[in-house]
Amino acid sequence: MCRARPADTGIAARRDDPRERPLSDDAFDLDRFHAGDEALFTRLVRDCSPRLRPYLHRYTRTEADMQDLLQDVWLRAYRKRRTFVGRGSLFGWLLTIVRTVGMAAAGQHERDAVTEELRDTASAVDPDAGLLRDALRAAVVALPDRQRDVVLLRLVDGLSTAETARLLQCAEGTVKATLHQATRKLQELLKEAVS
Amino acid sequence: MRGCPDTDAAVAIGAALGWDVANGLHHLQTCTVCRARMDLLQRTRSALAATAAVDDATLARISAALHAEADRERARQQAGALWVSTLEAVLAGVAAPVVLITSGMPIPGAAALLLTSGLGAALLLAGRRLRLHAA
Repeated sequence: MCRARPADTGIAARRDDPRERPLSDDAFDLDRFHAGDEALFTRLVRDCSPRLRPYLHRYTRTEADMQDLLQDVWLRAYRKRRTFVGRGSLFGWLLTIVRTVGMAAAGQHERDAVTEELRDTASAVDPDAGLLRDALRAAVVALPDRQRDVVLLRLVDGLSTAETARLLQCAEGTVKATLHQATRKLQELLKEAVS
Repeated sequence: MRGCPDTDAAVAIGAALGWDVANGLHHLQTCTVCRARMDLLQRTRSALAATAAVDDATLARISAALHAEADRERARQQAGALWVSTLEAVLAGVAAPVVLITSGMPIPGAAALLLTSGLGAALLLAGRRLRLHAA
């Protein structure tokens, strides 16, 4: 349900597979979500936690801390579930919760160090690759809500411009412009992070 | 290289380039601005789509915590509903004699007033509890 799309092998075939539909698909039952349906939340925890985990690195130092933080994220998501009204990316909404909970856990200062235990596997081959991926994730989380949603829906969930516009209830031109603005913003944020 | 993109992908590429495929692909490969943008988008997608395994014990612990939170929420809602129904019963108990008095009917004795109030409140409270249990 919360799984990012694999490499493109046929968009039409994948859309028929319910396991591959993004969470933003119309089949997502918002009423069940707002009602706090436990079966739905169990599935969300299972499907989304692997995607959330890489974002927790910057706020934690140990595996135990990461597990505690992940639980705090889901508890807050459950308590605040009615603030997600369905117009956007659920994963983007979860990322705002990660940032809120993570910042509270880490205090006022963001932790930039990545411990050996939690090091991104990419950095085992190229140390800079892991830092770049962390910087990119942080940059996307720092985007304004609409820009972040468009980036997630278009780049990761693989929604078309038309599908994204329908979900966000805006014009297709707005989606294109927002994606353009988001890309420029990411370049700026990345330059700041690298420098 | 993976192999030939399928027809669906080819159509998507062609449409995205306005069917000026040769010039469009050449531009994407030679323009430094476009190459940098494609590189950024590809790296961003890779970073965002990355996953890291979470062990079953952690997932189970989180689900149990959510279940406990759901139980607490239900308990709070039921306690809240009980307060509301109690308040309604008190108001009903007060409203009954007020209606009788303002209707111009002979003012009943104090005992009758108390009986009317108590009966009205009890009936309302009992009715609410039955509905709560039924729900």
